[in-house]
Amino acid sequence: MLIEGRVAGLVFTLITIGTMLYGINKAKSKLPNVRRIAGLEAIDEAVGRATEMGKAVFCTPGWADITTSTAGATFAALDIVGHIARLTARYDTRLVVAVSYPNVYPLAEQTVQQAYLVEGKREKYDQDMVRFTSSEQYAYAAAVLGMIQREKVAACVFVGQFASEAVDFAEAAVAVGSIAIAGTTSTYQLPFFAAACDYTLIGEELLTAGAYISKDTARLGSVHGQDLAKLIAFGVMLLGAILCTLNINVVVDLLSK
Amino acid sequence: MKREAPIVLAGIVGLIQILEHFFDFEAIAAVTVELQNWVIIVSAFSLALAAINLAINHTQKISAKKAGAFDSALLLITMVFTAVAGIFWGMESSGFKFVFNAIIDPAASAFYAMAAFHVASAAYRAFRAHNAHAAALLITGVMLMIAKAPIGEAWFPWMPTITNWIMSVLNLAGVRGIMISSAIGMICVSARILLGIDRSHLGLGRD
Repeated sequence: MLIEGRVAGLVFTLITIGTMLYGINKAKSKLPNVRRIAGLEAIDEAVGRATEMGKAVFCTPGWADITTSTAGATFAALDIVGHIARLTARYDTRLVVAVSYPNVYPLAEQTVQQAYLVEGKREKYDQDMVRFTSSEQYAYAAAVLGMIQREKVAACVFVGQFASEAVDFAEAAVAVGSIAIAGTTSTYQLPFFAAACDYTLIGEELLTAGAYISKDTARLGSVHGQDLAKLIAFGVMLLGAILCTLNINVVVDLLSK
Repeated sequence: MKREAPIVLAGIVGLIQILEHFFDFEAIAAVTVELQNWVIIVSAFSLALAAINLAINHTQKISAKKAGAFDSALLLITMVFTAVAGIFWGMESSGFKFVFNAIIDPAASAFYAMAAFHVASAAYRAFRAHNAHAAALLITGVMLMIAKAPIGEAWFPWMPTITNWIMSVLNLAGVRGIMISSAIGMICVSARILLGIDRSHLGLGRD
């Protein structure tokens, strides 16, 4: 039996998965064009800068675990961590990754280790690269600030889910003269990142990072499918707005089912 | 097989969780509760792994007499003390509560207070009208600050009407746009992982 009030959610979830699968299928014949995302392009530049300066690159996959509704952002952040690790492995640049939640730690460690393995630099991987801090918000924040200050990093990448510590991180990066790249789906923290960081990945830009970086056909196809789902959502919103203006509540009633 | 097994497991477990969210079946609800208990057990293992990493990193720092070795020693002592107090004396014991009430809570409050200074410093850099977008940000930011301050409303009684419109129409439209696209993105990321299309968390790439 379907739970009342969740029918529309189920229908839209199925539509989104359907458009995603359609996008993946279509990508096999024609690769979709994904617009340039400045924040992701800047990662290569930031790692290059750190390499030239002989300093470390710092990144963190946010303050969230993989068992909540923000898991998608954490997985997307881990994709970016993997990409950065490949670059630091390639250029022999020091990498520091701070992890907040215990269940993200093994994934982050595996991601970084694999990146060094793929680049043929397994011996360069150091256990000190991926550091568990604390799932306590301010203990994690204090640890991150300490690492940025002590290591005098040249590039900081804050991606994933963040809370009020976001502005502290961005300012800490600025204080040590580092390039700051941030990305989050949290609408409360986006203004802080946008104000204080050099580049910001806004909402879905973070979630498409994996596809954008890997250039993988299936993942790029899913981004195309994602856009189709957005178009459908936009159509429903537009129709709902017009009908509501005409005092017809059909769409509102359907969505509340 | 080493790669397929976790993907199949994740797919089945994920499907059960999704079904439990949308459907009211007693059998699925019971399995979901059981699975959520497993999550706690698996999380406990990952906590042990993470704690070992923390202990190794800081022990190495102390033995190498690196800068901040004293802080590392302090961290290890408090970590062991909190664990011992929690395990042997219980979470209601004065020793365990002391760590939270006398160390963590005040430190967290102090840290939270720091955010105010950081916001001011970030705003100072952001509120410089070096292009049209920054100028728009500066103007709306100043208007909102004036409207929110009691004296602002006394001087410009019409200001709250404008700023309320900015917040409830322009700002809300932007926020909802980001939220809707993020939600769709989250569904796609989750579906990709559960269907095994995205395997990056198990290593790099799909193959």
